[in-house]
Amino acid sequence: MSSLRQVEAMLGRESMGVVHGLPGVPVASPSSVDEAREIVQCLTKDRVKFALLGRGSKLGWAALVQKPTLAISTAKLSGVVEFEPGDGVMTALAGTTLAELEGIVRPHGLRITPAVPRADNATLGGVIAAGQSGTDRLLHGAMRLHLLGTRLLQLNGQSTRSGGQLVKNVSGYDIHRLLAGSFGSLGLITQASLRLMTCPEDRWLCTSQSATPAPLVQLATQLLESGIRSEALIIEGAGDAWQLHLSLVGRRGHVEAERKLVAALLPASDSLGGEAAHTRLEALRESEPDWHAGDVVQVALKRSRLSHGLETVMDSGFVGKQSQYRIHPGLATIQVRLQSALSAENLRQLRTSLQALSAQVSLKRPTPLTEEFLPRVVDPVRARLVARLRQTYDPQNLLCTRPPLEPIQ
Amino acid sequence: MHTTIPRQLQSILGDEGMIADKNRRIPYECDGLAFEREIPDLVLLPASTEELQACLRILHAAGIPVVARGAGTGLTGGATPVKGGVVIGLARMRKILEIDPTNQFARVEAGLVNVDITHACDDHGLFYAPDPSSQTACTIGGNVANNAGGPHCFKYGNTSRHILGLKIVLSDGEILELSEPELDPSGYDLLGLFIGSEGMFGIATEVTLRLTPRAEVTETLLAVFPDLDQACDTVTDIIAEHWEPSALEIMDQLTIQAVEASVFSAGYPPDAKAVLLIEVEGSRPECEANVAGIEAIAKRHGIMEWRRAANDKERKKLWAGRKGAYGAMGRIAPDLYVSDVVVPRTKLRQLVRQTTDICERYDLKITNVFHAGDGNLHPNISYDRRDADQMRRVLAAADEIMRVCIDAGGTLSGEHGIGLEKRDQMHMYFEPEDMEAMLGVRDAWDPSGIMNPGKMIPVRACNEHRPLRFKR
Ligand SMILES: Cc1cc2nc3c(=O)[nH]c(=O)nc-3n(C[C@H](O)[C@H](O)[C@H](O)COP(=O)(O)OP(=O)(O)OC[C@H]3O[C@@H](n4cnc5c(N)ncnc54)[C@H](O)[C@@H]3O)c2cc1C
Repeated sequence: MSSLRQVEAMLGRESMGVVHGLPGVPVASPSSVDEAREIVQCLTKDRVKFALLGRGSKLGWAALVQKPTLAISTAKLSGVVEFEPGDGVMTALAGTTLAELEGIVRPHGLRITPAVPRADNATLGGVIAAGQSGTDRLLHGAMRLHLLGTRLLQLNGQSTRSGGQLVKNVSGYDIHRLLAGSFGSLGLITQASLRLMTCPEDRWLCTSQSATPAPLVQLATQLLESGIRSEALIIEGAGDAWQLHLSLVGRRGHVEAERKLVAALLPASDSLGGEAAHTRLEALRESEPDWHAGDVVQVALKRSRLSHGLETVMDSGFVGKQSQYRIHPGLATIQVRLQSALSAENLRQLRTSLQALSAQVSLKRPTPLTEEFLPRVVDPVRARLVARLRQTYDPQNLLCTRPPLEPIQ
Repeated sequence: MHTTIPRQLQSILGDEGMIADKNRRIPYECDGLAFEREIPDLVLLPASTEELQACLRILHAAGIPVVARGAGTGLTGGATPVKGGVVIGLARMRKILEIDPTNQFARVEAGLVNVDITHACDDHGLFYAPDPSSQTACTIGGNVANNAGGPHCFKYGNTSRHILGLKIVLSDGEILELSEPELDPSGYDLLGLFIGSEGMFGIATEVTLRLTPRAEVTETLLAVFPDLDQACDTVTDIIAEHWEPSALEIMDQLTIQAVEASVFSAGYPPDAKAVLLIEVEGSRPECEANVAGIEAIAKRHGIMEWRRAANDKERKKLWAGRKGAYGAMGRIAPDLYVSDVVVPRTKLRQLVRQTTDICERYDLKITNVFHAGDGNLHPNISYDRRDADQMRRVLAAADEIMRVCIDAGGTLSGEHGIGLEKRDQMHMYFEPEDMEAMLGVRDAWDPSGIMNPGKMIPVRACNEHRPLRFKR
């Protein structure tokens, strides 16, 4: 019997399906780690190529390099394993969505970071594997910093633990840090523990407009230098309509005091407080460019080089005037949703023109990126180490993963 | 070691960079874990990444085990030499290479002493947040290897939250640069994986650190308690009620008395059963809200006294007692075993009690100075290592402490690491397959197995397949 048939017989037809973004590939959704293990063992025995998924919401980030015969989804591995509100930590199965987790912790005055868009379709495991950040990145830092531990189902069938459910823990290597951003290339994350954040007592959102981005970037720099602690500082726009959004959170008196400072720097701005601010920020989060819809270029550089980098991107002839920009000045990243697909030659030119700023340029598109689009791994030492790590976890090279994780030399 | 090897190494390092004389090698026989000792065959002190690279190529080819050493303040035997091996000290690599106040980072050599960074960027209103109590001696490389913490890591997080880049020399002499201009690594987070790897993946020679802006206001507070339980419950409630201090440190009565009798006297009341040292940072309104919230909780738990430092001088004095606590404990007995375990913060009272009971049962003197906000207990056992029976009791008590903490949902170490001290207790927390996975990762970094062999991962538990000659 083929491995596919075996998996189907194992789970029953109702646990087999498809996901948007992976046409023609059957998706198996085991409802326990033991079931997942049986599937993995069956596939590795027959050397079948397969992919690991949450709900497939990030398949558009960069399609799989090789087409898998089957995908395993964690969609049915869902639920909270342990939640200790008094300790501010939680452990959940990897298929639980961030929206579900948020719903559980909120009544206790806690929240989940990262605050990602479309959280009702973003699984915990998927967010970890994709190393995804949210609109709260400026305040809380990367999600990997709040990942306390994981359980990984390895291709050899072993379920291994790294870290735990404690806010401080240096026992053993931090393998969970390796899993954050590993895009399903090392094994199936089945469970994870997170540090929870406190819900702010008060919040305030201020928006400033401009016909060009330059004055807003300058304002953002002033805001950052003033020491104002913001949850999110976002510039977005296209053509001649640009906005800067600043979200302040914290204790009531603190937000009040910071508002005054901001008012002096951003005189002509609209502002919202409390729930209205929260709703607006959620809308901003949801409007984050969806990679399914077309090419998105991301530039990351040092904060002091942001203006220069932005000018370089805008002056490059191939990023259209009406392309939609989203800039995070505090994080020094520029994202551009392009109006039309970028050619490999143009991407190379952009990389070259930004080289002097030591910027890193990456492309996300819904269809597979061929090698010419990928950032070249210029460091052979790193490439060899990555290859050895992959070899350790996936000795038969069965996992179909996304670029740029495939070691390129 | 073949006789030609020291000669080759000396030709790279010069006289200043190599210690062959036995008497001068003895100081390197252990770190802060005094009962594990081994005199290294050689001590190498490279002055640059290139020198280190050249040395490692030779050692790698000869299969000689290598142990990196910062300041040797580690408390778990991580820097204890391996039989037949060499120690590579980073003491000659302590330059600050760059401070960039605009982008808020610094690039330093790994042998730099932790506190020197904060001194160097003070004028820019910036500081380096991880502040181990040993910060006037320990090195950044040692902090990276152990993912060191400290009192203010309650707010700012351990070392791994503050490292932006590393230059690492791998066992075969290859140089790996992990500096990510991008916030999220575009491939594997090798940086995150390296931090806390206890010198088993490679030797860090350069570190890019995140600098943190100083808070507008800092308030230092002291809550004095008639009972240790109440101090623990106060911390549990501060966390559960979501107050946000930057440090929450508990000291018990024996510690208070030792501190007050020493040069570190901070004016803690010697009749108090415990003090809770609290720091709050942020804007003025933020600090006021936190101080009021925390004071109310402390009062609810029956404090004897509540103090608020009126100025910088008073603030420093209150901290001097905490920072000098380990020095002061030398008064109690010649040796100190510093245990390091973490427990859920909802169970502080229960576990502090249990650890005390265990030590009483073994007739040992215990003092508690700990990072209460993180649930990171340090039951410190004073002893005399020349007394074999006492030594046996210390180790038995330490084992039991780890066991009760793990049974309550805790872990083996919060900041000191595993090293030799807790290697054989790893099975209390991890399954054999977890450790097998760790070995796999370690093999990927160092296929030769010469980097700090025999540390952290127990040999028996997971059919270790490393060459036997490295086993201790
Ligand atoms: C009084 C006292 C108080 C302490 N308080 C704290 C505290 O509050 N928080 C805390 O976390 N720790 C504390 N410690 C423990 C210790 O100071 C830390 O673990 C520190 O990080 C060790 O730094 P070091 O330079 O002394 O490293 P060492 O002890 O020399 O080495 C520690 C480990 O790091 C490895 N290593 C060293 N340098 C490098 C390098 N460049 N590259 C790769 N590996 C390397 C070594 O091989 C070893 O495994 C304390 C120790 C003492 C004595």
